[in-house]
Amino acid sequence: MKTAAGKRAGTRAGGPAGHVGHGRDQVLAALREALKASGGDVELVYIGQDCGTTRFAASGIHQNMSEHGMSVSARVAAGKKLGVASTNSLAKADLAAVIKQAREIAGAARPLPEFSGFPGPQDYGPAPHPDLAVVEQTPEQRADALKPLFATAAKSKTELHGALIARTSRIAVANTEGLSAWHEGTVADAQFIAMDPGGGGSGYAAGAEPRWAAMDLPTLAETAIRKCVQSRKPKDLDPGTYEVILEPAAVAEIFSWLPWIAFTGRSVEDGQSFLKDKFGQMVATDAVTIYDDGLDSEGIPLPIDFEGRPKKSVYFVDRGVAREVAHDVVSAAKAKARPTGHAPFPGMGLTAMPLNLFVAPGMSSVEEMIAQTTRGVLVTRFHYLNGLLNPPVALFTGMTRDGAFWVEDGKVRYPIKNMRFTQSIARALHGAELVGRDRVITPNTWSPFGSACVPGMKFREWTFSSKTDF
Amino acid sequence: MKPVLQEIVSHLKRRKVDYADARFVDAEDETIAARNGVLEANSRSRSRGIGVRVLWKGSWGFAATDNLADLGVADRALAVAQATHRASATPARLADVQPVKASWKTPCQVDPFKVPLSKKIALLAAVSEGLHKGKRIVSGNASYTAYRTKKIFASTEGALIEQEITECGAGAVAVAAGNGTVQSRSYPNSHRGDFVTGGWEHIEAMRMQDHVERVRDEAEQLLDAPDLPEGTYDLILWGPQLALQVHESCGHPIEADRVLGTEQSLAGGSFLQPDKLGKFKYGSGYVTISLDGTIPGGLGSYGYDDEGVPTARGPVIDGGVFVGYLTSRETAARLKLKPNGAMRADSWSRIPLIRMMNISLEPGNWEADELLADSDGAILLDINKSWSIDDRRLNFQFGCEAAWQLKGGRRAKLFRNPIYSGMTPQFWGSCDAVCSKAHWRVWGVPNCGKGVPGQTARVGHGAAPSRFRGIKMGASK
Repeated sequence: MKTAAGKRAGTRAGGPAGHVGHGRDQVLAALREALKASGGDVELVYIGQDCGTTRFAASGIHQNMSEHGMSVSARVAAGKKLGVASTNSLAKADLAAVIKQAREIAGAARPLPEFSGFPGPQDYGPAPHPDLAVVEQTPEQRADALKPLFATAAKSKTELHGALIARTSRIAVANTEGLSAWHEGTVADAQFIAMDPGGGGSGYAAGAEPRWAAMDLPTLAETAIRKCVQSRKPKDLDPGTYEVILEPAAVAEIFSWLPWIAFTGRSVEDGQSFLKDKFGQMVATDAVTIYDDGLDSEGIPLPIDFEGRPKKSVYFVDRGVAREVAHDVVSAAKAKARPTGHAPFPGMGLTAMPLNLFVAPGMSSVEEMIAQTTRGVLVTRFHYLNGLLNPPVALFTGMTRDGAFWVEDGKVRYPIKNMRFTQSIARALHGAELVGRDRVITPNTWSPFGSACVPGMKFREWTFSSKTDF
Repeated sequence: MKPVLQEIVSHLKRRKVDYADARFVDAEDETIAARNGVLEANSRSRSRGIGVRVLWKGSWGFAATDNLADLGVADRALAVAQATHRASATPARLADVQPVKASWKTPCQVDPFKVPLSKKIALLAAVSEGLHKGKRIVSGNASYTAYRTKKIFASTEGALIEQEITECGAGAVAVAAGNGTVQSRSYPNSHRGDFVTGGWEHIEAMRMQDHVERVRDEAEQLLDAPDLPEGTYDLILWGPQLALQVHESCGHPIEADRVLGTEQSLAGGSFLQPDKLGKFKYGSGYVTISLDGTIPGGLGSYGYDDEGVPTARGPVIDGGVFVGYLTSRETAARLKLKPNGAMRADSWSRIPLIRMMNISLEPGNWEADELLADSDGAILLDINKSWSIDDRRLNFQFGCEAAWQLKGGRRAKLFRNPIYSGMTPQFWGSCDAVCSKAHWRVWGVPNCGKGVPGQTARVGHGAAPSRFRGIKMGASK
């Protein structure tokens, strides 16, 4: 059989299951050539992704995927009227066709009053280079990394479920005003759930890093296994309001919602944000600092937004005080604020997209949080959170999962059956007593970009509204 | 593309794989969104590529490419399967199916992609502008999306299937602020509206412009309404919220991959374990739920799944008893059942997973007027606002946009921020009335998430207003 892999212009050599993504020079050259022939007022946004995902269940790999994809979106302005069209080809004719289509769409559109044109050339901050160990990661390497961990689980009579992911993401933005931007980033991502075969205990541990070598898979797997063993034979706990210690995964699940419901210019404009009318006021204890920073190398950096503007750090809550929200150009114009480099993906409507969420670290370990708890619940992670119940008070509901424990007089006493919580985060932040010193990165499951880098936290009051039988 | 796909599967057959399939997908979509009369999204996109799935010595591999001449994708998929074999557990075996050579196309009266853009923009701008006219309305929003997916499927068993699926939908929402709260009201449903397989005729039939005034007024009325007092009430779920209740508490737990533990890493498992099949009392005798991928217009209607299996019809809950799963060829073999055509991927670059088709609560005998007249004091809930359920699909909590207490067969008093909660079998066990076929319709859910990497499926749920006795309710505040 003839194979075209490797013959494709600009593709890189890879193993039999290695990646075949586009390189910087090839992408930017194709975009610039298309722009030259475009007739002006055009922006092109390239998104590319190579992703190797190995999923496992009951200590065996059952899904194993090698995915290579890209898209180019053309945004064309006809005065203040905008049109967007996308293709997943870099071919000259396809780019010309998609620009033409976007121009036709713009012609039929209505003016967007706040649109002030595409930005010119920008200066960008430093971003780390992609990690070759992630870029060149193979499914064989992932299988070989997992096999001994399955054996470790078997020794504790548990089974491992989860996923091991190596992802390379690329973004390029170029426009007819001379802007030209590129970023290539990598992430290694591991999730382990240890479960007793046939039910019983379950435990969870996860982590992600821009570099493969920074991942400690054995420790993650052993943590999940230990949690599983500790969570066997859980007891009932009556619903009520208790102290709560949220491990980093639980904090990430909640705080990943906050940018969308509370930390954008649009959410303030609509009255949905719990920060509205509270800027300059305390909205949390002074232990809490929440910010977005696309350049912070403690997370998964993304230094540019989808218009090619450089990302600025935005402190939503600074030592307890509400400070500012993220803006794209349109929401900034409406709010008379500065654009913060959070323009959304073309065609996804108009609301800023904060994709690099951080909670500043504190001084405590989880063990120290437990030692300072009189009557409370230690939560490993949550399942199926929802933060749309009542956004102005950031009311959330969700279930505990994979390890919840009763803590009394400074010690973990016993595992408890899973509980549903219903809690206003706006109120809980006023009782944020301790913030962990160790942060964990949680990548966005639904997009090639975005992550939360957060520590564990202890809250004075947390309402558990119902319980389960498991 | 057929020759390319056939070359890929022929090559893999020569490499002596257990099984392989190759799937070409050419997906187009169009989205238009307006806010307060201003156009905020106006885009078309197209994505084409090939996904290849290989089963080798009982181990799966998958590779995908956007290079339509890249026949090397076949060997990459095989290499991934061979890597899987280094650390796989139970070898996969596929239930037998008859390989099909066929084609299927969504019936579509008016191609949404051919409707003039100016007409679509005018409708959405007018609806969003109209919704914004209330004094306390913060924003009026209207959006529309259409999808066209052309697929060709070929397998080493000789299947060759061509499909063209057209889907579209629209929705509108008014957001009101004042009196210390923010409230929203949607039409015909929240979370982007209602979707079907079909064409622009569906958008026309919605008559969004006729509902602008009511939706706007109800959003403003909610600002002044009291919170629903905490308590135990009889509950009447109106169509779209009942559709989501079916989705979360029945559609997901019958997915056989969840049941067999292979989706634990994100979605979770299921309380409907195989020992319950055929005997577990899931609900009252009024509760009959079916799977059916053939309902005209249903968002979960299609000809064949992404394993080449024809979509099916069958019972899931029969008179309250659990009797059926959604299956793949692999899970069907493990459960000794027939595959029912439920494996779908959301793009060429993703593997198929077990996804719902149309999962529907079958109609009962009540007329809606009779049900309301028979339910003094009950709370009627309409249109979803929030949703959450545990990883086995038992403990749920839903929030809705509006609640009305019934009196004398009428919606007598409006409450805001309603939530209700329960445990799945007890909740369905409390059902004592389901309205008739005249009040039954299929609702489209365009945003069902599952899998790693995450995939979004478009599925459907038929439902008619129904009553549930003694449900715990309250307000989200």
